[in-house]
Amino acid sequence: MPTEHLSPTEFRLLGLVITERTGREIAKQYKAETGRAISYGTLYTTLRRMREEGLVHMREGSDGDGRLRYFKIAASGARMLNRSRTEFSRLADFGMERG
Amino acid sequence: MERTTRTVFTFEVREDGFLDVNRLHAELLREIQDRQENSRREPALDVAAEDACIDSLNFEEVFSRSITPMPRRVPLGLFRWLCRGETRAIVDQTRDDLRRDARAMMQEGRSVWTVRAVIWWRSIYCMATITGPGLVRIVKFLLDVRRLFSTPPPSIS
Repeated sequence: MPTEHLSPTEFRLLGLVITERTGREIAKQYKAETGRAISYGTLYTTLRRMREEGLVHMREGSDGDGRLRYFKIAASGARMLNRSRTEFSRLADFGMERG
Repeated sequence: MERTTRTVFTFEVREDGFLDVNRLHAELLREIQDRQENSRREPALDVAAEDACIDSLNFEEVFSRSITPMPRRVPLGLFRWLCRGETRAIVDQTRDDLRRDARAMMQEGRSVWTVRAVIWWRSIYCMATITGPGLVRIVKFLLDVRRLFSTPPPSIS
C-alpha cells in the first residue's frame, strides 16, 4: 500500500534523486547535506520501498568494480515530494507560531 | 619431442590505476586448470617452458600497486548466503559499494588497518539496518503473544 506521508529520510532521499544518481553518490550527498551518514542498508532498503511504490525509477549498470544502481525520481515521486514539502513547511510554520 | 608452451597474460590496469586482480586471478586459475588437463592427456607436454617471455613484464611495477584491502572475511558474505531475492541483491550492491569506498579511502592515504576497520564496521551496521525492521516485528509479535497469555481472562459475572 502506498504511503500517504514521507518520513524525513524518505523526503531527503527523494530530494537527492531529482537528478539521476548511484546509491553511493546518494549516500555521499546525504552526508554532505545533512551531516549524518546513512548506511547502505538503510539507503537501499528505503529506495527499494519507494521503488515498489512507484516513487523512484531504478536502472542497473556496472563498472570495473561491479554493479551500479542508478535512481531517479518518478512523476508520482515528484508530486509526493511537493506535497510533503508543503506539509513540512506548514508544520514548521505551526511550530514557529506556537514557539 | 620437445614442445614449448607459451602463454600470454594480459595485465589490465584500470583507469583508476589499479590492477584488476579478480580477473587476473580467474585467468590464472583457468590457465592452470587447462594445463593440468592437457598434461594429463599429453604427459610429454613441457609445462615449464624456458623461453616464456615473462621477463618483459615489470612485475615490481605491476604488483607494487595497492590492492583494495577488503577484509578477507567480510561478514556480508555469510549474510548474503542467508538472504534471498531482492535483499540478496541489496547485499551484493552494498559489497560492491564498500569495495569502492575501500579503494577511495586507500587513495586518500588511509592505512590498510583503518580501511579494514571501517569496512567491517560499515558491513555490520549495514546488516543491522537490513535486519532491524524484521527483528523489531518479531520482538513485537512475541511481546503481543506474551501479553495475550499473561492477561487474565475476563471474569463472567
